[in-house]
Amino acid sequence: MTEHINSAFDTGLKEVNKQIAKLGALAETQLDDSLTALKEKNIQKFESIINRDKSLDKITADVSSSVFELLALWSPIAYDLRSLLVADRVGAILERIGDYSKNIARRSQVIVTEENFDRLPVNIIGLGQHVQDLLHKSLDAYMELNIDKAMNIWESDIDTDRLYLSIFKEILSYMSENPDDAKMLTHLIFISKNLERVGDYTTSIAKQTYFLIEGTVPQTKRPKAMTTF
Amino acid sequence: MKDVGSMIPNQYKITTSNVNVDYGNKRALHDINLQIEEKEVTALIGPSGCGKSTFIRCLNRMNDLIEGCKVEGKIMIDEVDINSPDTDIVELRARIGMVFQKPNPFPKSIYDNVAYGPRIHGLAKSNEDLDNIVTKSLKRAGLWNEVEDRLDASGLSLSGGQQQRLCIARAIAVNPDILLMDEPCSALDPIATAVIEELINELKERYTIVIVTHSMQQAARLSEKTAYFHLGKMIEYDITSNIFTNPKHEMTEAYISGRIG
Ligand SMILES: Nc1ncnc2c1ncn2[C@@H]1O[C@H](COP(=O)(O)OP(=O)(O)OP(=O)(O)O)[C@@H](O)[C@H]1O
Ligand SMILES: [Mg+2]
Repeated sequence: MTEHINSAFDTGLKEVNKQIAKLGALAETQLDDSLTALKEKNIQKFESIINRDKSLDKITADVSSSVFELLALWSPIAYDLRSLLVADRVGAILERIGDYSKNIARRSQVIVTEENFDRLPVNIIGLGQHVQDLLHKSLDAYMELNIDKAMNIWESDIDTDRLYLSIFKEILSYMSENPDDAKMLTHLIFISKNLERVGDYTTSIAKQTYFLIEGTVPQTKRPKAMTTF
Repeated sequence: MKDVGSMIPNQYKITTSNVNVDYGNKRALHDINLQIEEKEVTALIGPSGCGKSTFIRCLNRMNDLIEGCKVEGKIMIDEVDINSPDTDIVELRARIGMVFQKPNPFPKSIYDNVAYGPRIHGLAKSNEDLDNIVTKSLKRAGLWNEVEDRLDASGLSLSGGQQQRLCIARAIAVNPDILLMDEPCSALDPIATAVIEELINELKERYTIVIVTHSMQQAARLSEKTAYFHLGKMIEYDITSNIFTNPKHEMTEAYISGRIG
């Protein structure tokens, strides 16, 4: 897309995009830290994840108010309008991903001190890494305006569903054999559900990227492995 | 055997086919093909000099009045080829009202401004008839309440926005079915503009309206279809919401979003 004759809108939009890039990096850090801390049982890291969440909220609010101001001042249309709408939505999505990471940290804090924690057979980190990879790729697709990358994310959501479903089943069967660990296992279900939700949000980023580029939403229905749980 | 094509009723109010316009040896419009739907607002947008006014003037043969201007191609309004020698130009102009950028009331009373057309076209059988036409036109133009007690005052004593509505009343007094508007709000403040826009919204129930505007927001707010002109060519013509959310042509997008094209 060529530059505007009046450059002030471009300057404003660039600033918004810079903020989104920063927010994306922070969301990735939060997710990565929550998984590492869980793996390492690192109590200090949990604290810093929880404290850092405020800065994501702050950037998201800043993005929203910049978008609002640009909309009011410029009445943008077509691609310009989509750029702002999508920036605002992606901002909100990244903030939610931050919230999920914080929630993972909170729950992990409770369970890592349980004595049976190390004996758990579930591969929650594997699900986490899969979702991390999706988040990274979806942000790439968005920043690079790459429609192929966006569509790939859209299609690989089914893998997230499958991974989550198998973890869920594992936890259930383990729970029936070890009812004393029910509390810990329930937290673990929520943690994996959080990760599955993050995966969903990465497909939303992909969908927004598609909308930004094409001006329409992708026509194909997203493949789904499950509808409940 | 009869040509089947000619038996199919023309479904559009206005159809232009391969319209070319030259001023002397300079071509101002190239092959314009456009179908305008009845009782819709069609907006013409595009950079200065792209030929919007030239095009709109083709539709009521106003270009006939310009020395050295030559119009080629076919323009059908309903079933009538308006450039055919059989077409009565006075009757044609009565069917097509025109409103210009600068309000241009005659230096006459408000009443006479509106009564002028019906008088020359012999539309009123009596003075009472004429009164009714004037009242009805001023009401439709949304001006009645502001002028009913001073119909004898000069049209020039009104504000710019009121003058523009007076011109609209004058245009609709002869009972046209098409209204052509060439930047009708460009000399008006936002309130007067909003009043005219609201009026246009009401008028489209009765009239087919073609409007030239430099305000993208106005085209977006008012029209069902938008045509984008560039250097005498029609680049894109589509449902207005498509033009403003997702134009197909890069030149359209560059223009409507103020980019270097
Ligand atoms: N009477 C005329 N004699 C010669 N050339 C003319 C005449 N009127 C218009 N033109 C030329 O025809 C082209 C189209 O002009 P037109 O007035 O139709 O453009 P426009 O789109 O209405 O522009 P604007 O937005 O400035 O009103 C321009 O190059 C213009 O110089
Ligand atoms: Mg003009």
